[in-house]
Amino acid sequence: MNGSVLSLEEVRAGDTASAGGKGASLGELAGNGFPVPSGFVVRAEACRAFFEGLLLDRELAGLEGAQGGDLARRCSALQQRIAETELPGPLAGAILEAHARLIGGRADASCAVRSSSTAEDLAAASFAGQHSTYYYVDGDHLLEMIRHCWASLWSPEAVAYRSTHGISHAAVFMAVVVQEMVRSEVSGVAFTANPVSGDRAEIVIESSWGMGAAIVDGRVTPDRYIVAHAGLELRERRIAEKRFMVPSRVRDRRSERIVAVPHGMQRGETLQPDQLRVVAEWSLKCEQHFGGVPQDVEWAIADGRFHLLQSRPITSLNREEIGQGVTGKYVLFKAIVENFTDPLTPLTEDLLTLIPLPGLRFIGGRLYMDLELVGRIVPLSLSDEDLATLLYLSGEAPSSPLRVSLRKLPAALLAFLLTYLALGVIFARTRGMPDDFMRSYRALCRKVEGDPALDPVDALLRLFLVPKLLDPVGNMAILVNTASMRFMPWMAVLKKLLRRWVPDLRPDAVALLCSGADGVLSAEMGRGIWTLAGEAKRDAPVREILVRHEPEEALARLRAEPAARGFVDRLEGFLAVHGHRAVREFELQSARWEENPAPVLGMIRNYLLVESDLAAHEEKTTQARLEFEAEIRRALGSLPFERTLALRWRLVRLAASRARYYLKLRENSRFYHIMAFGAIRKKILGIEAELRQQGSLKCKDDIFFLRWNEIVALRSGRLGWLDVEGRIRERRMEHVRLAKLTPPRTIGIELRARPVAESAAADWLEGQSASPGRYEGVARVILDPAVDLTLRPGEVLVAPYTDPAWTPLFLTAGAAVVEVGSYLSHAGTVAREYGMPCVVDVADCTRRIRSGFSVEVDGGRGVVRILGGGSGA
Amino acid sequence: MTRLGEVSLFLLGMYLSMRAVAASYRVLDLWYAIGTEYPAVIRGLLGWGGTTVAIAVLLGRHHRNAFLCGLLAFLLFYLGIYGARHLFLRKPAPTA
Repeated sequence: MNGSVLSLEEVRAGDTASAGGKGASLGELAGNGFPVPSGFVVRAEACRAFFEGLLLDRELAGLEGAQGGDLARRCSALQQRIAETELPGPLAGAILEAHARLIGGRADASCAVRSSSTAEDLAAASFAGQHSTYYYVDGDHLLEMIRHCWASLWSPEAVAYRSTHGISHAAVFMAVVVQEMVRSEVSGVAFTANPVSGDRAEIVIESSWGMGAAIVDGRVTPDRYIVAHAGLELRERRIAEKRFMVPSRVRDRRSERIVAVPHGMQRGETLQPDQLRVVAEWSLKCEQHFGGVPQDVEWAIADGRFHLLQSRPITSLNREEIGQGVTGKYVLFKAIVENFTDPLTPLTEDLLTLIPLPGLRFIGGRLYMDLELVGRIVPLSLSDEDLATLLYLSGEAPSSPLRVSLRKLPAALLAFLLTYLALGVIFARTRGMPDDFMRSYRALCRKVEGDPALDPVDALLRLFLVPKLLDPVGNMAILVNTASMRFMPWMAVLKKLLRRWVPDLRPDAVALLCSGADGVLSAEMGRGIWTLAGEAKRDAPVREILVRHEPEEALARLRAEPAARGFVDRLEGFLAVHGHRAVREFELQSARWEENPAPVLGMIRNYLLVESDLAAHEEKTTQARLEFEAEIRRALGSLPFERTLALRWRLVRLAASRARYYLKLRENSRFYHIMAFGAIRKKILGIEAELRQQGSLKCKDDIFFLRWNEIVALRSGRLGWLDVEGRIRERRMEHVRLAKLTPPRTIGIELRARPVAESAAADWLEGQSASPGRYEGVARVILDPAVDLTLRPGEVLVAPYTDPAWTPLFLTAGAAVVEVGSYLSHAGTVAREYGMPCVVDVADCTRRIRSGFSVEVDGGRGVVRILGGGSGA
Repeated sequence: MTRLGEVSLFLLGMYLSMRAVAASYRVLDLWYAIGTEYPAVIRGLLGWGGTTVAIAVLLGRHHRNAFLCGLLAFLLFYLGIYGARHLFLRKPAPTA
């Protein structure tokens, strides 16, 4: 071939300087008989010659020290010059000639054009996703896409990354790999070591329909298999609901890049056992070929044949990255951590931080509390470690007794006074309100939603951040939520009173006294689903459809079945009230139940399998509370004057009723302010539809990986698809990477270690008690209630987190074990309401416990013991 | 009148101003159910408004100023934070 273009078979591992990291790796594999799709490499030297011809010295010098908007403008100008300048004739001729040889005159053949930077091999540098890759490229657009690949060297993100890592801009060039696109039926990634646990005895394989980009970019939840290195025995198999796929061919350049998977295939298994074995074997061969270094392998299956698309070392293995490079001391904001268990998408984070959160900061997509700032206004003499332990709500006592710090007192009093002055009116307005005082918020949401003059930012401001001076308090959902935090001091008062007067009460005394408020809307939601299940149980055709079919298909069948008309009407009535709820409801990307009611149908199906009666269950809990109150009165009765005046009991009752009221306010205000997220999401989806129609966006949900200013620029035509495609891909990959990492509890400081009496045993998992009681049963690990809908009655729910959308699962569970959360978190609150044992803050429980394991949950002590099925460690 | 007494009256003025504002808002907050909730609304208005007026009247001329300053200071603070709330919002960064 021409000196600027090499066939893949001519390249070897040592040719990084010429073929870039990806080109060298693919060439090495192709030359050694691995089934790599045919292709060629446009060498980095061609890129260097092209850049030299453009005389970029002045522009490059201008990048030094540029930041923010200035850097973005300079990069944009540089990229535009590269993308719009024609390639020199001989180089263009050589590339087109190599392309013609590659496709051999087939009109329907298209290519993937992949960046391969010469900096990819530099130590400690990971450019994953920063440089562009283009699919479906035909001969007419090949040269343009190669120029775009080269231009991606100068994206603001890539430039900033190189500057941070001390890599000279002038020393980095880019080769481009052009390969024939594989018409993959199934594709995916394989890791020859578990990238999350670091276990090198496991191969993790993820697969989905169509092209693998859908998995790499996090567009679908793939099927997941864990295979043992030795003997390739299948250890774990999780079939996900794959609603979308990236097709391996498109009609034209304006076509959608993501399409719906047919119903019948959505829950279908993508890999048969023999195919799984082939993938595992080739992945291990890659690892062996690269000297036993664990590999991250991208693969595809087309016409029954295996194709290897990429193999590179697993960069994240054993590397905890969240918080690296962050200065200061931070602790996970556990009070609401269950709302941010997955990193937020860039758009959600951008919109949520329109108003600064004092003392709080998103790090790696998770919300952390600034320990140094909080430490300045907490008027206590505490070490940083003790303060972190306290703020993390671990339930552990500080290492030394709490003492007021006189030095900090003035600042604390001033902060308290200002906060009280700012919120005092809201505090007073929310006192003693009727249950339905926030009903007007629904109307406000509908009004904002239907006003075309309001964009998502306006909607967010109107509904969430900036209420009008003469709004009723019911229209200020988030402020009501803030005001409801007064349940904490009332609970503290109650705890103190009980400890003083009746010290020998059960450990969950306060929780029990504070539970059982009427009019809690999330509890109504659980009852609503239960009622629907009761109707389905009595209606044979409806029951038949729900039990026999997967939720999506069941919904279609129910709508087509005349006998199910009444049930469908009632389901729609339920959705009209609760349809704004979703799993991970703080994330704007999360589809709401009204868009996809499958999770509701899944929960109804769960209830159909349960014989117990919700009303009887609630009656039992109420009875237990009444008996407990009588017990307290009896115990108080022995104290002086109590029988005649009952002053102590009145105080206990007052504190309990206030705490109960504010706890209800907390749940109900959340019910409403989540409605605002639904309204804002609808506006965003409207803009997305508009942008997809004009071809500025190609894939569903890509909009959530843009920032608001970029969306504005797309709408005005200042940016186009080619400008944002790389950014979206990079952010999607970063999002997937962050989602796989467990956020550290603290950054810049170590949390005091828990006592290690029993936790040393491999089969003991230690957490925090959230609801007392002991229970022994079979574990069911549920990572996403939208995917894993089946929880058999009596099983122990093991979950990464819970939010109100998980509530109905609690009704069928025997106990719950949750990875994150605190006593105050949703899991604990609901478990106490239902009287079931619950342990929260159990690190790694979803990995160490596997579905089918027999476990014992001790909610009182906050420990979980794996009884059978191995430790899973 | 000691300085401490003046400060106390000023703070009392602020507190009662806050409660009176909140009581006035109750008309708006409970308007949707005013047919049944009016006793609570009237109780609040008369209670907090009446207490504020009564204290202002009962205080001597020398003591009244600190109390009225507290009332006014809170009103200005409250309206001020409403007016200035946009200043706290982050502006989205420009795009290339």
